[in-house]
Amino acid sequence: MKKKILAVDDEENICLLYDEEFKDEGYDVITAKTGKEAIKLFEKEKPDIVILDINMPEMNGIEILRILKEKSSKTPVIMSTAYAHYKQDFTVWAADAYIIKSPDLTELKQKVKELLST
Amino acid sequence: MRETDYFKLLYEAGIAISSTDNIEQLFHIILTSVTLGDGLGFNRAALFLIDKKEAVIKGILGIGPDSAKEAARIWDGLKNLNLKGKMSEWLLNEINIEAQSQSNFCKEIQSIQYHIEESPFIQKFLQTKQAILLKAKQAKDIDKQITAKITLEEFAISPLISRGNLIGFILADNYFNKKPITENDLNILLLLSNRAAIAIDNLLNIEEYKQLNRMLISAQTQLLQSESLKKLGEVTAAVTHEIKNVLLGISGFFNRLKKYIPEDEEKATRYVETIEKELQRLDRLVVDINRFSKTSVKSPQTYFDINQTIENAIKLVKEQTTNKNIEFQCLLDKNAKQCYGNTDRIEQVLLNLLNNAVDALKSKKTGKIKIKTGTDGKYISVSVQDNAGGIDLDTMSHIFKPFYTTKSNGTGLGLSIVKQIIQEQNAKIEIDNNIGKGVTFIIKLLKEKPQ
Repeated sequence: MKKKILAVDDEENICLLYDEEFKDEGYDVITAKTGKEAIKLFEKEKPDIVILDINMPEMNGIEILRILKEKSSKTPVIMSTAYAHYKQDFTVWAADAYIIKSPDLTELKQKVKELLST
Repeated sequence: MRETDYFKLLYEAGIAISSTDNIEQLFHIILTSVTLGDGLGFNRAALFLIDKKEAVIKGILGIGPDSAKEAARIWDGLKNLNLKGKMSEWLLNEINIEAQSQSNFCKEIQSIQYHIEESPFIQKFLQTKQAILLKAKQAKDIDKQITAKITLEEFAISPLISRGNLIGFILADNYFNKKPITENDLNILLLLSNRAAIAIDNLLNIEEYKQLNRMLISAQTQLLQSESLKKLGEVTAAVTHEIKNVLLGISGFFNRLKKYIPEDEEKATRYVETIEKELQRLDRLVVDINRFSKTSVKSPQTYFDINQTIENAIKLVKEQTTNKNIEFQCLLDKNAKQCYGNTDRIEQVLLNLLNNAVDALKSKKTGKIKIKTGTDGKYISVSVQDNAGGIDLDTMSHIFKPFYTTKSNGTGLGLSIVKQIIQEQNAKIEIDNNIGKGVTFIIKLLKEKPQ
């Protein structure tokens, strides 16, 4: 069975990029542009892994992470951010991995693969 | 002197006193009026003012010859001076302020300072508000701080009262020609003192307001500057963040597009490579500007382990560089690792310095970067040394300027960011440039929280 990825980013084009790239890799992809939408999809679609942007309007990635982990602590979440500044704070969060956003998705794909195989 | 002459004198001196807006000149006009042959004609006069804040009496100015010989010379000169009807003009324009201030008498007066509670004169003035004639030898209640500095025999003191407040007093005597001081002299001295007091008080108040105004203006300017810088920083950070997201979309889909270009399409491949390079450059620029703008926002300060910060930075730089010919040598002092500041900002400084070193070593076959720590007074020093040949003098004078770069793909913001962070962190940066060999950047970080 295909593994399902939930990608959360307020930028439509980035969602689209994740969608295309990961579909090419053989995953099922669902995307959400807001925290609300993400939580709803998370409950309904039960994804195998989540890619979550930190900087988002309304509900930010850190708040969403807490809610998702409360609902299902086993589902791995990869936090993504535009800048390396946050790095120091990441250690205290319950995220399973974090990446700095890049147009080159090699690292992200690697992380997804790793987390899904464990 | 006839009574009408006294009134003329008061009138003329009064005009001069109320005409000037320079406090220094005012002091000289007042005391010159007291000593001028055509005026009251005292041999010597001194001005004392009360500093209310500190509750002390201060000698402000003394006018008078230092010796009988000098006194005689001055009086001879004054005999030819006919000031009838022109005295106010003369007082305003002809006084030699510099010469008057240089007498020993003046210097002695200006060295006097004592607490108002030690002054019997002040006590008397508070009771009588009159000019008083005293003989130094007979008087018991006398300000000893004055007689300790200048020799007094018979002398007059007159209070300076402005709007009901005692602000100081004038002392005058005929020390050289021993001419007795008359009742009339006392009265006229008191009248002159009244006019003088109001003028002094007014000018002192104006000075105080001017000072206050200057302070307010400078404080306001600073506030506006730091506020607008902060605003600018916030706006820049927000704008660059948006640009960064757009760039991610463009670059992401550009990468997908690349896959559809056959490898044997030579022209298309060249164009693709150019676009790719430019996209990377734009991305670096946006990240650097974002970082640059954020340095104007205050960062949280804590104690941290500098050795840990250095190790993180080196690890990151090693991961990013493709140049395997560089040897990193780390000499970290285990006893000097506690610093106070923001570890993320300091890591940024180290990353920029290390990346510069790596870039400078690009064409070297055997590059070496040495990182060393140590204690230096209240600082921990961290030095980053390379063997890339140093920085030429012309470049050296520009290295901290924003957007100045010698790299083909640089943004020119790296060392500007370093400088901003160093300032924000109350740290220091030094450069030891050894042309032909290499350069060492030394940063000095606070060990303890500043007081």
